[in-house]
Amino acid sequence: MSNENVRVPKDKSIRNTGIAALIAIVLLLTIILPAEYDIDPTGVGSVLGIRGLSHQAAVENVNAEIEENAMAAASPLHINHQPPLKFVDVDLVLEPYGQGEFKLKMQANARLSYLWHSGTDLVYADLHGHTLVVGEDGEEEIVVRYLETQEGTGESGQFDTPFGGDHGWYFLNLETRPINIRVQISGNFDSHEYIDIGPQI
Amino acid sequence: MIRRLGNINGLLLAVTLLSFSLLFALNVSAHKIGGGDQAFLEQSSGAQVIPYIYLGAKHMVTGFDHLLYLAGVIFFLVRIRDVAVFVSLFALGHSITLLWGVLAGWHVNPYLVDSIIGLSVVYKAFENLGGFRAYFNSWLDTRVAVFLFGLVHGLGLATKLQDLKISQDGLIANMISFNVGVELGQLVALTFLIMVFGLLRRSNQFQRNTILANTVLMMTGFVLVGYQLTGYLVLQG
Repeated sequence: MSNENVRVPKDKSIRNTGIAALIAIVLLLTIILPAEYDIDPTGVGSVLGIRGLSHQAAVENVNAEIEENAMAAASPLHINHQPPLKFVDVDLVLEPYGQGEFKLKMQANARLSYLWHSGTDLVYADLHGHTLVVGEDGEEEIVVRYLETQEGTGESGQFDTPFGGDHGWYFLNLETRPINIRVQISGNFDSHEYIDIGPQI
Repeated sequence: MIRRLGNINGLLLAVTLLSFSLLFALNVSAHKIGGGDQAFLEQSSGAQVIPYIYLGAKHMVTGFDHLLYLAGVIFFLVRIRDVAVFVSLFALGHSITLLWGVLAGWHVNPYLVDSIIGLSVVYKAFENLGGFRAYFNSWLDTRVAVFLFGLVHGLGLATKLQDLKISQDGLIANMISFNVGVELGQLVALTFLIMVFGLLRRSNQFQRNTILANTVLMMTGFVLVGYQLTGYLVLQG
């Protein structure tokens, strides 16, 4: 009932199927497989500069690493590899609409207890981790967000790092005046730093 | 009369474009968050009706494969009643496997399911080109085929929902919400597709270009198959 309007000569459907398959194969081999899977049998992907574009393989690698670490974390021996427990207690000053990033260098499976608060001043905060992964075409950055606070005045909790790298907060002052954010942390981190990014325009 | 129809189409076009761009904008911002949807859902447990409806609709509207298949299905359907019959069969098929698959905890390989979904696009395009009629007389009834491929698309939807690590707490409510979202998203997509086909049909070009359009459709189906099968071999192997 649906094909009443088609008038196709008998041989066209097979011929067109062949054409469609051929174009699909060419597209796959020259563009899609190079970009999506970093498979470049023809070299066209490299010429076009789209090889490995989607980082899919890299993301899979990180996922595998996270899974591996999660399994390793189940073993109590793992905790021995961590640096000794440290404490930080700092006051960050953010100008109106100012942004800053408080980062801690941590290994995988390190534990962190944290508390930050800004009094009554509203802040956007984003707890995330990032790390560099070595892909075939060099290093690329992977970012994983753990917790986002759209408009808050504080947050406390504990988390275990799923992978080694930088973990910490991006803060954005939502007020039109300068504010203080107090950050108190204890955990097995290697080092910490605060980067003032400046006001958001 | 034509003018009035034109106005209604214009209104429909505006509404659909608006909802499309809204969904798209939401989708883009969600992508920027990077797994934000998933993080949100993993942090929450229990029934989350609206979020799951949204995710279902989002998956349908941004899921290229479902849209291509739907485009193939309604390509030659002029009467709204026919569209309703075919789309209902498709919806029935994918609801069965979505609900059953998640409840029974089937873990079908997503790459393999998605490559069969790609094949469904190829199949439909071949049917639209008149291939089955010409070479395989009294092949599967088109309605049966739509239902069967609906079952496959449902398996694909089930894998997407399972990817979200849906919690056992409130499972049924969330699953049904996701399914409702899928149907809503499908409705939005269909409105858009029907309008586009409606506009195209008015031009004299349409008849001449059906072969070209279905060949292109089939090509994209083949691309999906190749893309998913390679994913299966490379990332699952």
